[in-house]
Formats: sequence, C-alpha cells, structure tokens
Amino acid sequence: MTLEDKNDPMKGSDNTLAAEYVVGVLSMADRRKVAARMRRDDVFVKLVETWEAKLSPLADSYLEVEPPATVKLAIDRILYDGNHSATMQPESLWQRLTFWRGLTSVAFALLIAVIAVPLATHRPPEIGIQLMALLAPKGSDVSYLAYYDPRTRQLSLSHLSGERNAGLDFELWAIEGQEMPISLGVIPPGNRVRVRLDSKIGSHLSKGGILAISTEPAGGSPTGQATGPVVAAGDLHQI
Amino acid sequence: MMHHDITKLIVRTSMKDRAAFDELYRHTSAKLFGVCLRILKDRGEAEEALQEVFIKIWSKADRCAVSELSPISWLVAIARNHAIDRLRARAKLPVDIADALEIFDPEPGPEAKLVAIGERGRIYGCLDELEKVKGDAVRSAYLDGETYAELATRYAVPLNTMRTWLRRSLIRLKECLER
Repeated sequence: MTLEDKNDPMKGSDNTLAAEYVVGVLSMADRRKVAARMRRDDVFVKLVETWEAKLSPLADSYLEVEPPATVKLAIDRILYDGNHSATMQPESLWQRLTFWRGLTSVAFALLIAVIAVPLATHRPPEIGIQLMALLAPKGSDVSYLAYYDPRTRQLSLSHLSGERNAGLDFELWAIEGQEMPISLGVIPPGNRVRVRLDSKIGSHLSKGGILAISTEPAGGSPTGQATGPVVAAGDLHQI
Repeated sequence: MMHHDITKLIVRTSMKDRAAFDELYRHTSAKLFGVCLRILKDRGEAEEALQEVFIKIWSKADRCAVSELSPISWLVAIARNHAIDRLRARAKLPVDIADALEIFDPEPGPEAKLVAIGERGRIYGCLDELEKVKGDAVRSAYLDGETYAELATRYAVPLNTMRTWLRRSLIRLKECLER
C-alpha cells in the first residue's frame, strides 16, 4: 500500500465505489461486480443514483447528434418482429427453427447494413469470414447479437434484452442443415460475453446455419440436447 | 420537451405502447446518440450501442418509475453505462485518434455554458473550485468514460496519484454541491 492510499479518505467505501462507477473510471471486471451488486442491494442502488443525480448536469455537454434512420428501423425489427411466434404450438426445436429462419432473415438484412458494414470496414479483408447473427426473441423478450471471428475462434455475444429466471441458464446451440443441434455451452451472464469455440465447432459454424438459445436447468442441458423452450434464434450471416 | 412529458412517455413505454416509444425515440435519440458517439468515438459502434440502449429502455422502462433520477438523467445514465461497458469490453479496433480529437472538444459545449447560468450549472462552479487539472480529469472521466489508467497516462502521473486525485475531487465536489 502506498502512502497515498493510506491518506485516501474515500478508499474502500461504498460511497467511493458508487462515485467511481458513475464517473466511469472502473475496469470492466469492477463494473461487472458493481452491476451484480446493484441487482441485489437496494441501498447501494440509492448511492449510485445519488451520484448519477449529482453529476448529471455534466451530461449537458454531450452534443445532440441525429442518428441515421436505419437505427430506429433496426430497433423496430428487433422489438416487434419476434411477436408472431408467441402463438405457435409447441413443436420440435428443429421445426421451430426452420419456421423462424424466414422471419429473422428480413430483420437481419437491415441490421447488417447498420452494424456489419461499419464493423467490417475496421478489419482487413484477409482474415477470414466473420459471421454475425441476430438472435431475435421467440415468444420471450430475450435477444442477443452474436459475432464470430474465425481468426480467434471467439464468439462474442451482446446481451440486448431479457433476463434468465432464477435457477435457470441460457444455453447456446448451433444448427447446420438437418443435423442435430450442437451445444456451444451455457451463456455466462453479462452485457458482453465471449465464448471460445474449439476448432471443430469453429469450422462447422463457418458453413453458416442457425444459432439458437434455449432455457435450461442451471449448468446447462442434462441430456446434451435442448430440453427447455427456445427463447431466441437467428441465422448466421457472413460479413 | 418538459421532464413530465418525458416521464409520461417512459411510463407509456413501460406498458409497451409503441407510439409512446416512437415519440420518446424522436425526442431523446439525438442526445443519447451524442453520448454513445462521444464515449465510443466510432460511428458504427455508436449506432450499434444506441440500438441496444433503446432496446434496454423498452424492456426496462418500468424501472424508471422507482428511480429517483429525472427521466432524462435516467435515460442518459442507461446510455452512458452501456457505452462505457462496450468501451471496456471491445477489442482494440483502430480508431483515428486525430479525427476523434477534432470532433470532440474537451471544453463544455455551448449548451453547457448556457445551462451553467442556472441551478444545474452549480456543478461547474464547484469544478472550478478544484485545481484546473483535477476538475478537467473529473469532467473527462465522466464525459469520455476514461479509466484511471488512461487518465494517469494522459496527465502523466502515477496510477495511485490519479486514483487519489479523483477520489478527493469527487468528495470535494459532493461537499460543494451539498453546501
């Protein structure tokens, strides 16, 4: 411990942590801890809100910039396109996915213009085929955006909406052609999570197919195949 | 648009009223896009973030009612926190720093200078009571979501010094605002 640490009047207090979270200086790991705490500690939430309120006039310095119209269109597709599946009868995982393939491709065509193009322009073309999928809600409010980089074999998932129920996990599945779904594992909680895939599954994904999320008992499906309802799904697209 | 109007739109959005959500988007998307753009300094990523922010707003609108924040501050807090989370999580994408610096003036914008006259402007008076460099550090931590490490590099001070500076500055700021 340094001299400065000893003299630090706010070191270690909840008040400091709340202030640091709001001002935005914490690392990703610390921000995640704070976010987890805010889900279960209302007193701490009040501290954070006090700081948000105190510092909020600083936000007046953010200049207004009109976003392109494609953003709102993409939001509407994500929020409203998944509604149709709510009335569907229970079917096999595979049947449901075949039906959804058509629904999500429309949403995705638009989304790809918004997200994939700017993303792709940041990367040199020679690094292999990257894939994206919008996992749109299926009779739920769960949605994720998935991005797969074959170079690192990392699948990045951005959590867009919907929470898992207590004691349950979200499990991610890849489906290609008429084959049985392959589990890509339980999705860790968090706004942005990464899953590293083994090379066999990685090359499998590169052929395209569908990603789907099912609700499973904590720790994942006990059978190796989806046992719970599919809550989100979408086609993989090359970008 | 007045605060209570935004509140009404958020309440109606929490009841999944699409028309209210559309209107809320019309009135607040430019501000929230400005937040995402300044923090992420990348147009494509800011558009993606804004999209995610409004999906969060749609699904979490009911929580605004229990928050003590003003509705616009609640919306800005969602956008700021989401953009900062993305900033921390993202792989290092090449960003043209020169372009970014040109677009994002570190001084308060004209709007802020105007607002500084009123009650909300007290925070600027309190920041001015701090040593200039420390006031600037608080401001840019807040507006750009910089980490302690980034601030320490920029101000060429050890990490612990920056941490102590910022924590003390926040305490003094709080005392000044509560005076």
